[in-house]
Amino acid sequence: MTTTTAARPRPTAASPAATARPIARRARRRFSLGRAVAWAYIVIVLFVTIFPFYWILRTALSNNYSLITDPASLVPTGFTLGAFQRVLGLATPEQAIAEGGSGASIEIGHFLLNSVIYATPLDGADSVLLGARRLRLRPTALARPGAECSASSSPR
Amino acid sequence: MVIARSTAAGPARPSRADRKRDRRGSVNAKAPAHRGDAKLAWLFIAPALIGFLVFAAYPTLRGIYLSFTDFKVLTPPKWVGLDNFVKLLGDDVFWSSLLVTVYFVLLSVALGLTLSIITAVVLHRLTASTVIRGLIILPFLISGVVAATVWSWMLDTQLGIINIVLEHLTGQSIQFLTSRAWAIPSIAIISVWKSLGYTAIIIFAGLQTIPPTIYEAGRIDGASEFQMFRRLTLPLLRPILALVVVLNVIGAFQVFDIVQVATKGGPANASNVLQMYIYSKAFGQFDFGYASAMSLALFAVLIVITFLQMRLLRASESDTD
Repeated sequence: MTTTTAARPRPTAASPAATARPIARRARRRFSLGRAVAWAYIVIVLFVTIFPFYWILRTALSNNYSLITDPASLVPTGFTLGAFQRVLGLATPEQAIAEGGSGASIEIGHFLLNSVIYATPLDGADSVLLGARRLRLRPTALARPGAECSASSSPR
Repeated sequence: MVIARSTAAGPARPSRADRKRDRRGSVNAKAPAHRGDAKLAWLFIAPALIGFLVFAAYPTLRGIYLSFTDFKVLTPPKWVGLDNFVKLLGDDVFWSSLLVTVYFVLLSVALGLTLSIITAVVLHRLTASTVIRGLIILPFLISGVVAATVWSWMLDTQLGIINIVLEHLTGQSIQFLTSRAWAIPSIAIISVWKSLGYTAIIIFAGLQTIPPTIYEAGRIDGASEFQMFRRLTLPLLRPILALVVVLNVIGAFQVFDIVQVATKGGPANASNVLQMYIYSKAFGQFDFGYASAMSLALFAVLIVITFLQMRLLRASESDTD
């Protein structure tokens, strides 16, 4: 009871606009330790998430031989576009072998086609199942009317 | 044809089907403009239906049949009854790989779920940035093979960046993918890295279904962030969490691509998960009958586990209302 009266005068509880967007309001609050820890956590998660992608790019732009001699380099070592040229079929087998590749040709178009053929019937089957779910299994936990309401009313 | 059917069924019609349609507020199916709808509808779902029958239903039935046969590819399948299952009970490698799989499932689901919940809740309370959410879901968009490849570079004992950093900091490296103790945890880390964003986004969507007024009330009552998380968020999120747990457990039981690329089941069967063993039996030793029997056993295990989880977590009920 006492907490209620104490909290009443606060603008958060008073105006309906504030209740609709609590997060935006909170973002403008003063610095707090909890928020700092939370942001640090997000930064760590983002770093761990993105770093392997950077590592793929860094390795893709590196020379195969320099990778072995200089594995700790954070930037591409022995910078080359050779790997990309090999994938796209723009390099001769001799060039590929010179960069530490096998010299075998890579038929990326064919591989892509295979993936498309594989993905098509699977997607089709999925859509049948999803369609059946939408028609028959409406009243489940995920598709409550309340869920739809709040999802459409607060497009964050 | 169509007219005849609709008039013949006339008297019986204005019953359930019609009332149902009316309740949904859609058009009356008996109106002339909609007479051919059923045919058209079948035509539209035909490609998907055929795809489902050919690529899902038939292989499942065929697999069940093969599990009761001795099938070595070159000769036609020979019916052997329950022989494969009897052999299964006495197969030490099967039981050890089941154990390895369960270890992996527990590790990856526990780690993945904890991190996903924390990430989703922190994101939900902290920021509305779609950019961050988009970045977090990135690993889900690449294939497991690519994820396993890049992580096996990074976790390499000599050349991997993670071990280079570890050696700088602690003076010793860890054989992530080549030691018995670390193989499964490392694979679990890779798998969690790959699925974390997706799970977090599902949970995030679940968080958005919780009415903000509940938090408002919690704040007025003087609850701290942590109390609101324990007393409000977690209970109200239960249906979503149940779904996520079930999906993650099924997915983890079926882990294959990451293991195949990162360790190939080694060292010395230390990461020989069930799918890996099934694969090596089928496509390494061409013992398709036995491999099918193991698949069926895995299938049965998954059904039982899923059923138990749905029951225990009361997945189809909600506490929001």
